[in-house]
Amino acid sequence: MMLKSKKIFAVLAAVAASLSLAACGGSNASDTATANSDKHANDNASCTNKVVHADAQKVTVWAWYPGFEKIVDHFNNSHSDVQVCWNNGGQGGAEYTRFQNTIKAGKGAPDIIQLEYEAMPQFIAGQQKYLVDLGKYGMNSYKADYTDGAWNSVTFGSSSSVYAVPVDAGPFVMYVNQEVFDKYQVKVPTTWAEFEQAGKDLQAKGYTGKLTNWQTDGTAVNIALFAQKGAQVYKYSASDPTKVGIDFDQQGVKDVLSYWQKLSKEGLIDTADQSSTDTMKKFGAGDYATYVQASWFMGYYVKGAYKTAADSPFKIYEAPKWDDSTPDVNQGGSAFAVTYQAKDTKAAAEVARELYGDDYAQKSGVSDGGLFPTWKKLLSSTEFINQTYPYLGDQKANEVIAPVAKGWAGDQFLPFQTYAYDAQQKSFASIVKSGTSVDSGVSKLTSTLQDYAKQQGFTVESVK
Amino acid sequence: MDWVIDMSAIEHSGKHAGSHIRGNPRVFTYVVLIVCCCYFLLPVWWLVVASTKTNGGLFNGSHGSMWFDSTMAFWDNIKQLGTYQDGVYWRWIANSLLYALVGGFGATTVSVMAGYGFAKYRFRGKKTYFNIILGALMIPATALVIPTFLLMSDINMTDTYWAVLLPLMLNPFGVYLMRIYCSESLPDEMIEAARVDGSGEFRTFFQVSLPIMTPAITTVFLLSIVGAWNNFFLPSVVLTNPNLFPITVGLSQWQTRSTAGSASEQIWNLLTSGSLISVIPMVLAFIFLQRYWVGGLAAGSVKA
Amino acid sequence: MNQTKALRGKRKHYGKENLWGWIFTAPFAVVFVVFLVIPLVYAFYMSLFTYTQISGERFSGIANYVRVLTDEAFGKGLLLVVLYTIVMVPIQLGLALGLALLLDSFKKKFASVSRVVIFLPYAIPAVIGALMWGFMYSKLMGPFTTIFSLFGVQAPDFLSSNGIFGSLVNVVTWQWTGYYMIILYSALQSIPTELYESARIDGASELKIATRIKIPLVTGSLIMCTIFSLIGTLQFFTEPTILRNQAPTVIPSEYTPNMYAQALAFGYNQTNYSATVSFSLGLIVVIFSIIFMRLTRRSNGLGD
Repeated sequence: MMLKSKKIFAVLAAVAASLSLAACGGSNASDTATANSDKHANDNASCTNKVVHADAQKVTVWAWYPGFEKIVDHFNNSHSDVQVCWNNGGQGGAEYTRFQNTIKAGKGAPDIIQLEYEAMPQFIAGQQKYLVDLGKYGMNSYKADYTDGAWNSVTFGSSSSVYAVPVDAGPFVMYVNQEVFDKYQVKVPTTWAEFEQAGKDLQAKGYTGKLTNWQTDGTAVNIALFAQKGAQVYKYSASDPTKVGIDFDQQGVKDVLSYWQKLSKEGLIDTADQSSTDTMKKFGAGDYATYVQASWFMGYYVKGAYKTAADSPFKIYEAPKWDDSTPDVNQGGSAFAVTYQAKDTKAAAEVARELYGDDYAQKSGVSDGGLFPTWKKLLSSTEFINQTYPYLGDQKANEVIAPVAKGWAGDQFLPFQTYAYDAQQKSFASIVKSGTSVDSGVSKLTSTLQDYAKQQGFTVESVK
Repeated sequence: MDWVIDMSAIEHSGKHAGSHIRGNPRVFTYVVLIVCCCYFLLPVWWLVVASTKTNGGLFNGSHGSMWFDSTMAFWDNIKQLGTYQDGVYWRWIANSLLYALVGGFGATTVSVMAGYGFAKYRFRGKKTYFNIILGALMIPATALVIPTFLLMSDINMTDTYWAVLLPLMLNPFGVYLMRIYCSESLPDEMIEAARVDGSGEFRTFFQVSLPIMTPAITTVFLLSIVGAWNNFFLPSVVLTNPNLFPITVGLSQWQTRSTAGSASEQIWNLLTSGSLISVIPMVLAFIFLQRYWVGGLAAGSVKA
Repeated sequence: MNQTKALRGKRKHYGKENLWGWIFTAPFAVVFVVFLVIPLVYAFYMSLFTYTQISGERFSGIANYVRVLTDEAFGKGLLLVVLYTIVMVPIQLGLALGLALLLDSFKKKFASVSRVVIFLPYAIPAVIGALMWGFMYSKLMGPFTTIFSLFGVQAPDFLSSNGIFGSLVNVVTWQWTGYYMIILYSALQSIPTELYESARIDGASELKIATRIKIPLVTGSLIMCTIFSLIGTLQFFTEPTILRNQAPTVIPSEYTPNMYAQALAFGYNQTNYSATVSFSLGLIVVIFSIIFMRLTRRSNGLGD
C-alpha cells in the first residue's frame, strides 16, 4: 500500500515544493527595506483598546505590561494626529516566538514591540532583520534621560545605534522577612559572609525555614550574581554582530557557584524551582527568611503570596555584597523596539519614545504596572523616593532601590539567549542542588555554548 | 464529594437489595466503581473548590486545597472575569462556542460525505486514497503547525476566524468512522432500490442514506465538537488578536501571565474560576448526550 | 467486503461510480491537500535546508537527518516516549477494558452514573486537565500529603525527577481512560446477548464469559484503541508542556521529541531542524503503527 501512495505523494510534493519556493522568495524582500512610510496601512487593524480619534493614523503595539491600557488611553487622549493600537502579543518567550514567525512570514508584526533587554541581541544579530536602528531617528539626543544601565542595554556598545527605548529595569535587591529576623534577633546581613552566618544563626536559634531559595530554574538571577563578582559571562556588540563571547570558566563564576553549593550542602538554603506553586506557598508561609531578587519581585510574588498587604512581613534591603567594590546589578527589564515591518517607521519611532515619555505615563507605570523606572527624572523626584509600599509595611522602598538602578552599568546577552539559559539551568542546578563539581561543570557549559555559537555561524571571542 | 457518591451508592444498593445479578460479586463491583468515581472526580472537585478562592486564598487559605477557604470569593471571581481586560473572557467563551459549533458542523459534513463516498462507490485510486487518510492520523501536529502558519501568512489568513475554522474541517477519524458505519449499517440494496426508482445520487444520499446514518453522524459531530473545543496548538500560533482566541489559548496566556517573571501579575483565581466555567458547557453536553456516544461508536468499532 | 462483491457484477456502473465517488470525497480531498499534504511537503522541503543566524538559510540536503541520528536530545526523548508507550498503553487500555466489562454486565443505575463520571475527563481540555493535576501534585497545596498520611505513608514527590514519570502517566490515564472505555463499552453493547446468554444458562462465570466470548468479539475495537493510544503517546506533548511550567528543571524543554521540535522552532529559532525532528518522529510513528497493524492484521479491520 505504501508503494502506490508514494507515487501520488511524489507528484503532490513536486507541486507543493514549487508553490513554497515562490512563497519563500517573497519573504526575504523586506531585508532590503530600511524605512516605510505608509500612513494608512494600519487603518483597519483591530485593537484591544478603544481608539479615540478614529480617523487619525494608527501605530500598532505589542506589549504585556500590566495596566498598559491606561498608558494607551492616556496617549490616545493626548494625541489627535496619531493613535496607538495595542494588542497583547503574548508574554516573554511566547511573544518572541510570534515575532520571529511574523518576520519569517514577511507580515503580521506590530510597528512597536516590547522586548526584554536579554532578548534583544537575537533580533539584532544575523541576516534576518527585525529591529530598526532608532539612532537614525534622533533617539541619541534622549540619552541623558535614561540610566546608564538601561541605555547600554539598548545600544549594545554602539555610540550611534539605538535599538529600543528603555522602559523598566529590575534593580537587584534583597527581600527580608522582617518578622523572622526580629523574632530570632538576628542582624540583617549586608555581605555574603554575613548572609551565610545569618543562616547559621537562624537555624541555631530554632528557625525551621530556610535562609533563602536558590532558584534551580533561575536564569537572569545568576547573571546578576556573577556580575556582583565582576564576572561578565557573555559578550555581544551590535557593531560586530558576528562575534560572541562566552566564558563561565572564570574565578568569579566559580566563587559564586561554590558559595551557593556550600550553602546548599550546609542545609541553609532551599533549592527549588521558583515557578513551582510550592515555592510560592513556602514564601507566603514565611519559610524563607530572605529572597535575593529583582525589585519587580514585589509586584509579582509578594502580592501573589499574601491575601492582604498587611499580611506581608517583607521589607527591601540592599543585596548582600562581597566587599566594598561589589557593583550594583540588575535582573530583567524591558524596552520598546520598532520593527522592520513598521508601516510608518518614523511615526513608530516617535510613538515608541513618547509612550512612557511623560510624567503621567511614568507614574502610572510605577503605581499601576509595578514597573521600576529607568527615567532619571522620575528616579530623582521626591515624590517617587517618598512613595510607600503597603506590601512592604509602608516602607519607602525606593530609597533603597533607586541608587541601585542608577549604579547599574548594563549587562550583555547572547543572540541565542533562550538556548543559553536552558543550558545554564541544567548545569547550575546540577552543581548547586546535586553538588557536582564546579570546575568541570563551568568548563563543560562554556564549551557547549561555544560549540553552539560556532554551529550558528558566530565567531567566538574572549569576553574581555 | 466522597459522601455524595457514597450516599447514592447506598441508596441504590438499598433499592435493589436482593436483585439478581448472576454470579456477580456485587460488593466488589460497587467498591471498584466508587473508587473509580472518586479518582475521576477528584481534580474536578479540586477545581470547584479552587474557583471559590481569592488568589491569596489559593496559596494561604485555611482548610487546605480540597475544602473551601473562609473567604468565599466565587462571585467576586465571576465579576472579575467580566471586567478583567474588558471582559475578554466571555468573548473567548463565545469564540470557542463558535469554533466548536461551526467547525464541528463543517468537519461532520465533510467527513460524512467522504465516508459515504468511500463506503458506497467504487472508484479508481480509492484504496491508496483511503490508506493515505489513515496514515494522516499518525502525523505529529508540530510537523504541520509551523508550515501551515507560514502558508497562511502568505495569503493573509492569520488572525482571522478562518485560520482556526478551516483546518478543523480535517477529521480523518470521522471519515474512517463514517466509512465503517456506512459499510455495516447501510444496505446496498436500499441505495440500489432508490436508484432503480430513478432517484439521483444526491437525493438518495439525503433522503435514503442520511436518516440511517444519524447515530454515527451524531457521534462524529460530538467528536468534532470536542476536538474543536480542545483545539490549542494551532490557534495559539496563528492568532495574535486576543479577540479571536478560543478559551484554551486565552487561559494558557493567563497561566504564563501568572507564572512568568518580570512585570507580570498573578491571576490564579481567574484561571481557576475561568477554567471551571469553561468546562461546564462540555460537561453538560456529555451528560445529556451520552447515549449518542455509545450508539455511534458501537456501530463503528465492532467491525472485526 | 459485501458491497465490493455486489458491485463486481455491475461493471457498467464503474464510470458513473467513479465520478460520484470522487464528488462525495472531493470536499475532504480539498481540505486534506490544503491543510495536510501541502504543509507536510513544505515541512519536508524546509528540512532540507539549514538555518543559522549568521549565514541565513542554505540548502543542506540530508545533513539535518544525519544530525538527527546522532542527536542525543532526540534519542533520549524518543527512548522516553517508547518507555511511556510501554507503560501507559497497557495501563490505560487494561483499565478501560476492565471498566467497560464491569459496566456492561452491571446493569444498575449507579453503573450509568459511573460511566458518565469516568468519561467526564475527556470533556475537559487537556490544557486544563494538566493544569489541575499540576496544582494537586504540589506537596504543600495538593491533597495527597493528607490523603497518604491517612494510611500512614509519606506522599511521593510527584514533581521530582523520580516522580514525574508516574505523575504524567496518571494525568494521561485520568484524561483518556474514559474515552477508550466508552469505545469498548459501545462495542460490548452491540454484541447480541444471545451469544453469551446460553453460556450463562450453562453456568459459565462472568469472568469466563468475558474472557472467552466478549473480549474476542471486541478485539477490533481494542486494536483500534491501542493504535490511537500508541500514536498519541509517541507524540506526547501537551501534558508535559503544561507541567513544565511548574517544574522546569525536572521537565527540560527537550523532554519528548515533540517538545524538542517545539523548542527548536519556537525557542531556538531553528525551524528547519525542527521540521527534520518532526518529520523523523512522524516517520517513526508511521513505522510503529504499520508494524502493529501488520502484527494484528487479521483482526484490526483497517484493511480493505
